[in-house]
Amino acid sequence: MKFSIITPTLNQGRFITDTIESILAQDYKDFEHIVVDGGSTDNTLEILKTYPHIKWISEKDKGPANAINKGFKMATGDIFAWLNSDDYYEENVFKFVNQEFLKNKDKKMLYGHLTFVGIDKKILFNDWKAIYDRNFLIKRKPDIRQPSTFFYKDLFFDVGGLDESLKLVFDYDLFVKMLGLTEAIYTERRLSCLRVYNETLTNSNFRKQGIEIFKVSRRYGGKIFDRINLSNLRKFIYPGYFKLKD
Amino acid sequence: MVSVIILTYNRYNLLSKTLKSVLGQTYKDLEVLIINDGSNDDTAQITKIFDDKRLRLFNLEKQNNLAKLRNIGVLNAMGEYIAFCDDDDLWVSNKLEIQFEYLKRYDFVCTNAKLINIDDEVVDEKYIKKSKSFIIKTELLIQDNMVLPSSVIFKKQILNTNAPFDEINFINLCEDYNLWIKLSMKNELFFLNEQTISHRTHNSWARSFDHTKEIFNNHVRLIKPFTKSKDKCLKNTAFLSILNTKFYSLKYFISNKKYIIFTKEFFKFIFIFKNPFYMKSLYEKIKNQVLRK
Repeated sequence: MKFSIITPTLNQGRFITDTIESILAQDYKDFEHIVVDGGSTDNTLEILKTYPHIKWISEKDKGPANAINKGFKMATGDIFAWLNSDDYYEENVFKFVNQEFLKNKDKKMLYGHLTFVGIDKKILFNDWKAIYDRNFLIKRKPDIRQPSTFFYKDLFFDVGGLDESLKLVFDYDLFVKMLGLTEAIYTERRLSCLRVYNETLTNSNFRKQGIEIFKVSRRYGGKIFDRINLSNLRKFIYPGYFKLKD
Repeated sequence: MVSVIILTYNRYNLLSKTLKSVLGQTYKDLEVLIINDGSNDDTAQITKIFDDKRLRLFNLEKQNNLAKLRNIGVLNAMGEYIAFCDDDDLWVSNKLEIQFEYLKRYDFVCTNAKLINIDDEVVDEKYIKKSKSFIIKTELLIQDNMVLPSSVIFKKQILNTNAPFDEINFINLCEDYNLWIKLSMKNELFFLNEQTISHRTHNSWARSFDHTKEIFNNHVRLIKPFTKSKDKCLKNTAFLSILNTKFYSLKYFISNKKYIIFTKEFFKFIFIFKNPFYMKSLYEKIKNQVLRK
C-alpha cells in the first residue's frame, strides 16, 4: 500500500532536513511526501527545491489544520499520516506499519510509541503508556501520539477531515472522531521522535490548549466534573508545567 | 530561459511539425521538454532526428493522467518562464518575442489563435471572437475558457508550488482550466488579441460525444464552489454560468439525438431547482449533523 506523508511547516528551515531525510531513509519505497508551507521567509523553500521527489505548495493558510487538510486533498496514497516539520520517523517504520495493517484487516488505524527529544536530537524521556480508547480520551486524559499514528484514506474523509476552527488540538479532535468508527491497532514499537523545546506551538499556548480540550471533550459527551478537566485546571494555575530548563 | 512543455501520445508526424515551429523561434533562449506518454510509434527516437541540445525527452509508461504528466514537466523545467504547447498546434516564428514585450508588465500572457485543419489549411482566422486585448478576471474566466494552453506563457514564480495541476479531481479534462482559475484569483492574466498560434481541429477523441459530455460535467463541478463565495459578483456569475452550461448541454444532447440521456438530465435539472430535498448542500448539512451525534 502507498503511504502519503504530509508536512505542514512555517519558518522551520533548521529542522526540516531531518524530517525529509528520515522519510527518504525508509526501506519501504512506495510513498509520497507532500510539504505544505505557510509562506516561509527563511531558507525552507531553497531546501525543498533540492529534493525533487517532494511535492510542495507555498501560500498563506489559516493555521496548521487548514494546511494539513489541503495536503491530504492532494494526496494519492492509501495510508495517511502527518509529520510536523520538527519531528522525524525512526528507521524502517513504513514496512512494519504496512505489515501490521495487512495482518489486522478490520482495523483502520494504528498507533505506537514515541520518544521525546531535544533540539540536538538528545533523548529527554520515553513515553511508557498509550491508550487509544474513545471513552478514555474524552473523560480521562487527552493522551495521543500524533506523529506515531497512521490511518486509512477513507477513514480520514469519512469523518470530514480536521476541524479548522481549532488551532491547537485538532489532532485530538480527529482521533476521537475516528475512534467512533473503528478500533486502533496497538504496537509496542517506537515509531517516531517528537522534538520538545520552549518555542513549540503547544508549549507557548498552554492556556488556550486547555480551553480547546474542554471544548472538544464537551462536544463528544464529556461532563464538567470529569477527570480530564482537573488536569486542564492545572494548566491554568501553573502554565509552565511542560517547560524545560536550559 | 523559457521551458516549453509538450505532452505527446502517438502523433509522430504532427509532433515533428510542431517541434520545427518551436525550435525555429526567433527567441533562442529556450528548452523543450517532450513528455512521451508511452507512445507505440517512433516518438521515443525523435531526438535522433532533431539533433538539438535544447531538446529533453522523457519517455514514460502510459499514465492516463494528463495532470500528472504536466506536473512532471513543471517539476523538471529549468527556466524561470514556462510555456505549454500541444503536440498538434503550431507556433508563429516570432511568438515568444511578441509575448515578451507584455511579460515586462504582466506575469501571465495568453493569446488568440488561428484555426487550421489537418492539411494546414486555415479554417478560421480568429478562433476566440474578441475585439480587444484585456485583463482576464475570475468572473470572465468562469463564464468561458478563453485561455488556450498552447498560447500560454507565465513566470514560474507565481505558481508557489511544484505540483500545480490537481492530480486527483481533474485528471484528463479541465485540468488546465482549473489552474487558470486558481491563478486568476491572485494574479493579473493578460489576453493578447493577436494570432500567435495555429490551433488544429481534426477528428480525434476530443471531438467524440462521450468526451463532450464529460466536459460539461467537469465544467459544472469546477464552478460549483464559487456559488458559495462571499463576493456577490462572483457568486452570481458562477450561478449563471452553471445554468448556461446545463442549457447548452441539453441542446447538445438533442442535436445529437441522444434522447435517453436528454430526458434523464432534463428531470435532474428540474428537480434540482424545484425540490429542496434534492439540493446537495442541504443533504450534506443533515449528514454532518447526524455524524456529530
